[in-house]
Amino acid sequence: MTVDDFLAADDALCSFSGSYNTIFTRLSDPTANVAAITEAVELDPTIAAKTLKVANSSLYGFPEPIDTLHRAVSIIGLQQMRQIVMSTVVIEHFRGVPVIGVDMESFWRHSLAVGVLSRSIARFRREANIERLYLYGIMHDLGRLLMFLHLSSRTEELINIRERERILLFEAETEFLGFDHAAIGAELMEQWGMSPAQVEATRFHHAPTEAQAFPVETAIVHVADSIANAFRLGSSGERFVPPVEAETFDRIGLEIETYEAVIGDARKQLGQMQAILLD
Amino acid sequence: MSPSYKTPDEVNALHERIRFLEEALEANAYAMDVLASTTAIFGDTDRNRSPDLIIQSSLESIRRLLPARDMAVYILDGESSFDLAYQQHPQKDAYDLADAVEDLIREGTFSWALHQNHPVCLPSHFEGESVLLHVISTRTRIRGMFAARFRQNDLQRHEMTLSTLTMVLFNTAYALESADLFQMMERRQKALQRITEHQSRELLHHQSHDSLTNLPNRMLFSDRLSQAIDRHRGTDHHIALILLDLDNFKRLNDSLGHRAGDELIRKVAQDLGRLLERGRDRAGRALRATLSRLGGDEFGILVEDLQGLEGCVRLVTDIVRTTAVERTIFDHPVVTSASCGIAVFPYDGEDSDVLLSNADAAMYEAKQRGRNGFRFYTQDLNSRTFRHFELEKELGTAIEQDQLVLHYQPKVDLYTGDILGAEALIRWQHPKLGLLPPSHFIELAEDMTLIEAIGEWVLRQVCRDLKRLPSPARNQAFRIAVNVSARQLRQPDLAGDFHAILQTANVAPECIELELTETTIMDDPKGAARMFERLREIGMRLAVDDFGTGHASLIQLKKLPADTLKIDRSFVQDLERSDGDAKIVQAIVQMAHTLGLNIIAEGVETERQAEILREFGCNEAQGYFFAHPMAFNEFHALLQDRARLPRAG
Repeated sequence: MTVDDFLAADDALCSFSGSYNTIFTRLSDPTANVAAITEAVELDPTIAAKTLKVANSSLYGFPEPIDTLHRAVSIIGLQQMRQIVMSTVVIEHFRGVPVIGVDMESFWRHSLAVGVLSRSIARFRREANIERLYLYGIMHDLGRLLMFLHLSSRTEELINIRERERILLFEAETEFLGFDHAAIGAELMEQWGMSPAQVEATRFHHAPTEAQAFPVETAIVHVADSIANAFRLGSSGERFVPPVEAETFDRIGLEIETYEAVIGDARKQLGQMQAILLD
Repeated sequence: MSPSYKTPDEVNALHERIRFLEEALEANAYAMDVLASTTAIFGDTDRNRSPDLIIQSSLESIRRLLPARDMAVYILDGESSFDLAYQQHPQKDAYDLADAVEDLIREGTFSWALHQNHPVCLPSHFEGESVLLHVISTRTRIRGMFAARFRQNDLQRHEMTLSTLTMVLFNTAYALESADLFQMMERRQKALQRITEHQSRELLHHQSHDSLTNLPNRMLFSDRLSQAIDRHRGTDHHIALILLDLDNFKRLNDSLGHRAGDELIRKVAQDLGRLLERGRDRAGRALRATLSRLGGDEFGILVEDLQGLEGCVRLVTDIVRTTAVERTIFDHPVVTSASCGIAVFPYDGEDSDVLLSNADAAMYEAKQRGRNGFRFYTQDLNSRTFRHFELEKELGTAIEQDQLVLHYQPKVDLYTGDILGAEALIRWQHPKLGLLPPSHFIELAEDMTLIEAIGEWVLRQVCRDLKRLPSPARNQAFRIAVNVSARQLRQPDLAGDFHAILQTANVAPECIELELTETTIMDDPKGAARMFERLREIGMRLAVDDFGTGHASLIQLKKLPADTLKIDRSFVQDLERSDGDAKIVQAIVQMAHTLGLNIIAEGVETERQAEILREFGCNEAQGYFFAHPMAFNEFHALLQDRARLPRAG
């Protein structure tokens, strides 16, 4: 089996339709201005409402209520808004899909946690656009959904390898398939025309030292993933915490003590974000 | 999602997209240019290190990127408050950007924006405009806030360039930070420099000074000696180089230990230092002296601007005396003495090495001669100065031992032969040398500052003698003349002292005439005039001695409240032989009459001289022709016998 087999398997899952498609296309269009994006988001009331809620959440902590999407875009920033809406669309799109062997609730709690943690790390690094890391985090494990969906009953064999050899799931995947869910996810990102940074961060989120072009972004997602696992903030199937190399922390450049604040910051927002996006 | 563009709408969209990308490319290229030129912001040279300049350069870059209606920069001051550091178009009377920012600060949006590391566009009270806030922050530290007013439409068109704003402000923050660091570094460097300078000064001091006594060491001393030699070359002043060596220092070191030796050296150095500080030359000026410890128990003393060697002898005598006292060193009484060798520039050497080695030889000789004394390198000086030195010692005790006596030389009326008075002349009845005239010891007395005491003794003695003289001397016209030296003239309250003596003795001041040489007066005409004035107030009479040898002008003479002019003996001596001298004397006499002054001639030795003087109208004289100076008893007898002295003509 190849990576392409997993992507070709379910076209409905790998592409958007209807308003999601319009929104997604518009978001990916660099020529789209504030009005064009606002207009597209408003096509889907659920997405529009959730986006506005996110804008008003503690993630932004804006001192006054933001009552229109237009205002949200100008305050939060156009680029930032693209990523927020996109992540909302992705969550909405995949949430309803039944996948054998995957606790959807737990999967999305994990993905959201990695998103919020990645964003928090970027925030403490004082990066200019921290929402892109939020998006990378939320989408980093999408490959696993595709994998489980496609393997269906054979998922059990995979789990057995993990149990028998007491290894991490992604290691079991490689043993079983020759590649892991990260490779599948990266292919999907490429197919969707996501940024090269996101493709690489997705591909190497279990092997951050291999990321050549975007080592920092990859390292951030990797560390956020480990933290989410360590704190049992949902799960995407791992039972153990993927270890983090000292080199990876060095890449990010934050003092280890700072992570306490990073995690505290993320946990404060996480409950609220779950309530907005997953309920 | 495989995109395919088939419909005309999609083709249009594609065109639109290409146009946008082209525009974006152009905008990006422009933004890159602007970014590349932001090096002006960096604050990395002296010229662009001021925060104001950094802000100015940043705003210039931003102006090229974004069409702002107004811009302002707030700088975080001391981690607590944001101060408006710059505003492009402040408006006094209308609601402006600064007011809008104030509102945002109140609402809390401002502090919210501090934590958003991207441009935040906020609705505003300005019609169709947004207020943009962007934090100015490094990765670790917020340094300020950028604020601007934009037309909403402009803002949308410049969406792409907004991320450039982030980069410019990021650079600004680091420039401010590095400017701060540079300043801090500079301050530290300056502090360090001060410390280094201080330390090198100290080091230099250490190198050139002796650590025990803190005096200049041999190195600095010979340097100063060389400099002094250069200064004195070609002048007629001397330099004395005195080397001093403690006698038997080694014995003390051996018996009491090195610490005691050090302590002694320190104390001797202190005493010598004080002595030199107090030292004065004949004119009352501080000595230009350098004391140095050359090593061990050897000191060097450099005295510059010497005008004669008497002062040097006095100084060395004092030095030997000062050194040779009993001191208590760590509870032990220690008696030291010192031997000095003296070399004098230019006689004893033209350079410092020769002078030093000659002074050393002289010191060695002083040791050979039994220590506790001094030797000049030039042997001739030794015999002379030795004599002087002895004399000086003896003169110090001459008053107490009643060795000073006064002789009197009568002053005679040229017409009547009457004795009008006398000049009191001091003599020293030296126990070994016999009767010494003033020329043998007055200069010495002046050097030793004994002159004041001697001067007072003279006046007191004159008063005593006056009282004992027979009746002819009691009338008001009878006067005794007393000499006053230049040194006495500088005595702070000469008039007061004299007045006190006269009062105590109950002698009328009119009976005393003070004689000052014309040269003395001319050395300090103002001082002399002042002193004359005061002495006149007391009632004493004043005479200008040796008149004709100085350079008194008529005006000065007129200003001087003198009573008498005394024609110098040199004119009188040649009266018979030189027509010129005769004319000068005649002129002086006439002038004195014109000015209303008494006139007296001194040194009259022949009858002819007396005759001529009388012919000129001079009525008073003194000299061997009439009488030699005589002891008081003789003078007393002379007056008592009412003997007439020889008369002219």
